[in-house]
Amino acid sequence: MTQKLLIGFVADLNGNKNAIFSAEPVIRVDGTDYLAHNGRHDAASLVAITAETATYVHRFRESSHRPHASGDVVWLIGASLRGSIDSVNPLLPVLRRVRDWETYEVQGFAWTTGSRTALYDLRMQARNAVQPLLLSAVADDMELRAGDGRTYFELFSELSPVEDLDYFLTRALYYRQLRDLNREELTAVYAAGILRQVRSARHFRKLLHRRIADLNAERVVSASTRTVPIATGAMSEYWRQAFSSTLFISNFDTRPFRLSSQEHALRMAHLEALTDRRALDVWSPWELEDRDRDRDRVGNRLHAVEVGQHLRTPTVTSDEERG
Amino acid sequence: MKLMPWIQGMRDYEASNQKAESATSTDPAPMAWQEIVFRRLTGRLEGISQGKGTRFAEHVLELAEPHVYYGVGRNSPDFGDFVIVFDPVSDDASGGAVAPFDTGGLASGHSRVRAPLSFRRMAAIVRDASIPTSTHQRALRQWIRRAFARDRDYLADDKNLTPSEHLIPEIIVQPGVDQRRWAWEARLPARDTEPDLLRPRRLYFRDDYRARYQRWVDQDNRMDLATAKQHMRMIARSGRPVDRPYDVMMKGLQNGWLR
Repeated sequence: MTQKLLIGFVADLNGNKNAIFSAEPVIRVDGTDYLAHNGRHDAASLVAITAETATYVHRFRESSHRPHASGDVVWLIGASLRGSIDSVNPLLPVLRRVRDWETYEVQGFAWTTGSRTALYDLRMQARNAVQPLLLSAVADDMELRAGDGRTYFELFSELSPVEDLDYFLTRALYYRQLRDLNREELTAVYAAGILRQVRSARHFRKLLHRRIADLNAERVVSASTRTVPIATGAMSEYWRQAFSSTLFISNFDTRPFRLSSQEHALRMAHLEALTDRRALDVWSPWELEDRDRDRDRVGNRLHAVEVGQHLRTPTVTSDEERG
Repeated sequence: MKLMPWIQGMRDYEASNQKAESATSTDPAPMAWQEIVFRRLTGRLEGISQGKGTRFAEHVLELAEPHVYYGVGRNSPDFGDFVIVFDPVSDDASGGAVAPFDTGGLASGHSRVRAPLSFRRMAAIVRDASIPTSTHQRALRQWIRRAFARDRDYLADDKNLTPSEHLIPEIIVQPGVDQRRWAWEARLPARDTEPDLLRPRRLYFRDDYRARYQRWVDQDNRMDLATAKQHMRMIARSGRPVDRPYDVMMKGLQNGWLR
């Protein structure tokens, strides 16, 4: 049986320093070089490298040539991404694997081989490891703006092997927390364009509200403390989401909300001011004290939020909702 | 016959040279692939990266300024990480032209010719053979009907299916030859174009290249929000993540899906 020797790959490395990706392998069979589509060895998948196309091939040094197994593609990781992975402890299992990859002489890339499916799995495992860090960071202004929030965001994005709803909602949440509304909107528009389950950018925003409410509820339950759910956007949607997540917000005299649009708007504006543009937040006691003082100062009677203890859902009938 | 689109693929132009040149080259650093895709899609062609081979060919062929190149109806080679399919340009004000063969292949000596050609002769051949963009579709259609048994043979991925005639008598076409020897090539001056001159019809990205392009656009600040939204919609509508961009593109063309 003729040996198939992996001698290089075809990919554009410029622009991929912060990426992990696969490339088509170039193999040598009986002295002739072929590009092997998806790493397969059948005749239909092999394209002979000609004098003209030879310039597109990245060639490994001879000592790195190795037998090629059908179905294996070349996995590549850029130096920037490898450095970022190195700085994040929960990604240690991924890093251990990446550390063993061979170095390629151009632009600090490292490479190994494997199937496309296995690379997908590795990336998904890494994405799942970094996502909780990102979600935690977006609830913390310091972490978000001056800490590791950006690193987690980039890792989550670049490691993700697929553009699914969770991927888009997580990215949009990051932008929401940064108050980068343009990029949040672009994410919504793009997600609506490619995901069947997202009907429109507006629908995406509703899904984002729901995600925020769910995340708030999770945090609240796990923290068993007082909190305020924060979400911007359509006011009625805000309240609906807040209540649907069993977060009960009352005013000081516990009347069910029956607010005019103007009152509603004032409360929303105040709530956002109070919360310093933060979402997914579990307030610390001292923060609550600060906010209590703020509340007194502006005379708004917005009350604290009790979570998990008040499961009844008050009737929300703002003017906007009454239509 | 349907209009033949203009097609651009993407490979690492000088992959084989990067190791040797990384420390000493005085050439401008090549652009990131995302920047190249963005410029191609939005017509920001001024200053776009060119390979050394292209620069050499343009010098030999006495083109007065840098150009960007498109395969007409098909594109070679048959691999790469993405392919962009545009509606054909027909506005002569663009300054573009169409040649009935791969001009770079002629200049670099890849085309087999009946007798050795001087650079000056090569330049004259390209100059004389160039067809205005406004009439190139009709000219191509007429040639395909003369040169192939069936119209669709122009799109066949069989290197033994070659045209019975070549518009340039100096170029020899034999079975098995690279299709670029006879497939038509369009070029536009590498200047920023009018906004609607280039109309992307379909983008085929390998694996997650589409996602990486979208993230790159997301971080780029050159477009205002309304334009960026339009661009995102276009990527979502026309972009296809696929295993083999070239193959899927050719199947689409052969089956008429792209029209």
